[in-house]
Amino acid sequence: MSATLDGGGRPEFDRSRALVKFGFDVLVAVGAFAAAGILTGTKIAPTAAAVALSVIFPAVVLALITLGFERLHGLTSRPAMRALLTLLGVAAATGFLIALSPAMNFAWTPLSAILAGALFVAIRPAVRVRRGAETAPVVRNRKPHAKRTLVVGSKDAASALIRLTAAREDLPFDIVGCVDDSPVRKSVEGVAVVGAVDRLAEIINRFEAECVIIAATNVSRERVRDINDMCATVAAPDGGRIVVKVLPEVAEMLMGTIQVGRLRDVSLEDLLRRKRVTIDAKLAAPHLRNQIVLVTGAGGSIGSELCRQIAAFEPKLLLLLGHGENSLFAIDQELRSSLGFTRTRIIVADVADAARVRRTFARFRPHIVFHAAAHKHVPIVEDNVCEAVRNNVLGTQVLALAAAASGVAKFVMISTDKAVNPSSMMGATKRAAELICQAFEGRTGTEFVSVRFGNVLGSRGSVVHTFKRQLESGSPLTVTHPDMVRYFMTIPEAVTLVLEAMAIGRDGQVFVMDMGEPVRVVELAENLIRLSGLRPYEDVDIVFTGIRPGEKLFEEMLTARERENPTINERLFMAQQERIEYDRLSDTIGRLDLAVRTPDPETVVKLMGVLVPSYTPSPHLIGDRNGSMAQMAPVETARNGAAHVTLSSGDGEASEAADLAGAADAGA
Amino acid sequence: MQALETIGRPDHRELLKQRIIARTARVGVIGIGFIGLPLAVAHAKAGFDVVGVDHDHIRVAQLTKGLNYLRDVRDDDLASAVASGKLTATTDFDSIRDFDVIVICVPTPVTASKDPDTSFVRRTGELIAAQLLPGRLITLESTTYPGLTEDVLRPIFDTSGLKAGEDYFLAFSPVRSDPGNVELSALNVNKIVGALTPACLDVATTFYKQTIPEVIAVSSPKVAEITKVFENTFRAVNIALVNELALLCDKLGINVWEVIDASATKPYGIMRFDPGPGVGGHWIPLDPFYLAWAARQHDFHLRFSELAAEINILMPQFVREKVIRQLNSSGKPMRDANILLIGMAYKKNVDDWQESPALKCMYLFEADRAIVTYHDPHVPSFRDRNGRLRHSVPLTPERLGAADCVCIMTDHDETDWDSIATHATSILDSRNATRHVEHDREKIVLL
Repeated sequence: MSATLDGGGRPEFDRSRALVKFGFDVLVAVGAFAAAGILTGTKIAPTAAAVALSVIFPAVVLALITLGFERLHGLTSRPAMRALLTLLGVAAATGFLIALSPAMNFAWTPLSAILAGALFVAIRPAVRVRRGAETAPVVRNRKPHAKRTLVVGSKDAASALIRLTAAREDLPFDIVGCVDDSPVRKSVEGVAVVGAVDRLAEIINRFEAECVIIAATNVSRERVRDINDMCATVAAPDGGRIVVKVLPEVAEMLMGTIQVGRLRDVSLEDLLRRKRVTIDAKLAAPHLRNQIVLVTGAGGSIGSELCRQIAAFEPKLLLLLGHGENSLFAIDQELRSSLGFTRTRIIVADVADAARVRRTFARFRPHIVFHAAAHKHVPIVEDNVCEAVRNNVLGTQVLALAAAASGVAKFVMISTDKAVNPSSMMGATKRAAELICQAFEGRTGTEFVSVRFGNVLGSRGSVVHTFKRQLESGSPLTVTHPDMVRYFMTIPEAVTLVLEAMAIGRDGQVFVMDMGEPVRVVELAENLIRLSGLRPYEDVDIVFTGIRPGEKLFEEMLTARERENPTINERLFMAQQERIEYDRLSDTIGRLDLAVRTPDPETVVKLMGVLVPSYTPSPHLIGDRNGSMAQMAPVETARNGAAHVTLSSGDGEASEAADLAGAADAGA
Repeated sequence: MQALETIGRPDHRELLKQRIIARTARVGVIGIGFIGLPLAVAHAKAGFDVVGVDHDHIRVAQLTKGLNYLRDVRDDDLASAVASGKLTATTDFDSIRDFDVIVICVPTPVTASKDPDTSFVRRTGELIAAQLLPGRLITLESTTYPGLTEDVLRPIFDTSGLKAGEDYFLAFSPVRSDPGNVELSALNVNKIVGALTPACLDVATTFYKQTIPEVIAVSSPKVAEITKVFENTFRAVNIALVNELALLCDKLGINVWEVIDASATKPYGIMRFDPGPGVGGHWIPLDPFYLAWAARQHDFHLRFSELAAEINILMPQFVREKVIRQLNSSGKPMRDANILLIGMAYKKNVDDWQESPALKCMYLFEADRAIVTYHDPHVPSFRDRNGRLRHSVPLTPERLGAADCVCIMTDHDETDWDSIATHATSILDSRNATRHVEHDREKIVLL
């Protein structure tokens, strides 16, 4: 999505207005030449033909140039550029006339040319002011409690911002200057461009600014961070922190979630060094528009963003399924109030409750299902093995069976990078869910697709969420290990990729998102502290708490091999997967079902090892039960990459697991 | 009076009948597809403990969870049967040993050369024979050619050393169902039963009387077998007859439906059949082949049924020809033409797209390199012969307007014919589904 910050893009080329302008240009030219003639006192209009020619010719040339530029670049919306053009046009035309004057028997001096040009340039803006304030430079708005503000940028976005702040009493900003490294003009809407961004700190002091608004399109995350860092080095006149705000990106405005008049605070998103994810809306639209769409876990952070983005595609009905009525109510209200989307139905249900799921599918017959319901907190899942397996594994099985039974066209399962060679029960349950979806491949009329998420910013319980809470309460930030590295992505970005994967995915494919460069968690913490105007380790401490059960220092997302499987979206890759027969999983899942209902966590852990051979349970789960892991042989072989060596036990179960191990290896 | 050699031997016939009447007999349904599942649900509803046995783990898991995968079964019937514990499912064929009544509902397709493919029935028979115990009733529900029960299944069961009519009981009772008609389910259609011996017939009718209002006993399995195939051949022949009439009416420039409507007013001696783009489903296209094959074994050729199959197979070609003519009249070639099929199922209100004429037409159009999409609320998606998943597209005015030809292939009840007639530019109606649409008639071409 690339557009200028004019909101709706530049206005359509307007023929009648162009004609008026053209007429005006002709008038000015006639006036200029007449004035020049009078002032120089030489022969005025020797012949009618010559006068006509000398007046009409430059006017036509000028008009053509102007029209041409209007068509080519839409530059007329920029007054400075237009004035420059006019000046150039006059100079060229006059020069041309002078060159021709001997032949035409004119005796005009260069003075007349200069005069003509000056008149031309002077009259145009004056008339424009009379025509209205639409493109006129604004008078600086002195509001009583407005913050003295510097704007970074001097182009369309900046000019839109300045006009807006001038026009609106409720925006407490007093724009005192613009900062731009390569300004195309000296002032923007009457506000001077006062220097380059590198000297921002100095400029802030000089202008006693309290606030900096970044108003430039396609400004990179690094740039925002640099500016933020510079602002952090100086203090506002009242001794406080310089407030840094960013004009939201066009994409966000087009999504309808942000109004043009709103600014957002610099957020952690700005600290991620990545390009924004784009989506080809044409791909997802046929699957969603006018269709019945079901989202499980709709109240969750991923589920609710899915609902927002899906609602924009105008489905026939959006079913919000979840087990917490509050969060379902919240997203439903949000869809109604901010997007005006009312074709929703709230279904309070547990995904593992086959009877409830059956009723829902039989009644609504959804076309597309997004399965985002899961227990995702790694440490909590370690302590609640049975419930997690019931929800994440058996719930996925129930939904997948119901989807296939009722003729759902596409079933999209939200997975996690923790599912690759999982060391946590959470990761293992999600890998099992992926396996279930893959095993349905080609067996039914439903297409199953899984998409692996990395860490998403702002998700409840995510590291950033925790950091923000800790900062607010004034406690030190806790990081498990100085070398802990994580991939981060914003939820809207990730969800956009899910919709893309939905559109292009088929046959049980597992998609992996390119999350950019991994970020060290400790750096993230430091940056967050700096963003709050504080100094890491001095004002706010960072404490290392040690790795929790099931946690890894580094999460594998994409292997080199997987990068060889690009999709039409440059940020989506296909994980290498081998086909797994559902028949081979169903027995283990049946026993898992029984163990979960018993409940027998020890057996559940063992069976998860059989189901997901690449799973390495954390020591405390297998801990003191000596000997109980003897049957986990498949796990060991899988981890060593020797899935096909002879297993200690020769029964069918173990060999089945070995085959699964082979498949999972390929996936890892 | 009991015969001498049976003194002291248990009377399996009476014992089994008692167990059936008391509902303590366990029923195993082998194959829980479109034949087996409705029967399994019906028997469970009648109070039997029913176990569905199938190789398909996904189906078994769905049934175990009470998830209905067939439109012809009521969701609530299935769910309550499962919830009450009366209906379960397994992939374990060794469980056959535990069933008192074994109902075989495996598919009986035809081979590529249109010969009956009875391999599923044979294999199931072998599995049963391997673990057959005395006092069992085995019934076959799958459509077959006359003679399969007696000449193929019986010898397989006899390898167990048990005796038909004394130790085990064998019968053929074909399933009769009207797909798309939930009211007329396996429960309330009269059923034909033909059995090997009078004892077999006695036990089999006792079993079926528990669930079916009227059981019609015939003298042998062969009679039951041929009855089933004849019923469907009758339908196929009559459909072929009206289809042939449609081909003629096209040449004469007469609206064939007008003829059908007029003829249907005769109070006797005529049955209404409607022409269409061809026949589909599990039976109508296949059963005449079964009958014809059986006839060929006796050097006899069933000219009617083979001719019927021939004409019905022609119909998709005729639809193609009509579409070509229609495109031609607006100066368009088939290649790259945008064709929207309304309905992918083989008949109204069903979700079965396999063997459907719409599918055949789609392949024909695509062979002509047209761009084909379809809309069918009952078939949200399906996998075509290339393994590609095709999705039903929502009907929007834009989509209808953009299609070079909208082909009505199935007249599902819920379709909005008015809207189709309003927005489409050119319509081929192969079902006379738009009979009540009064406007835009000039756009609509009937088959």
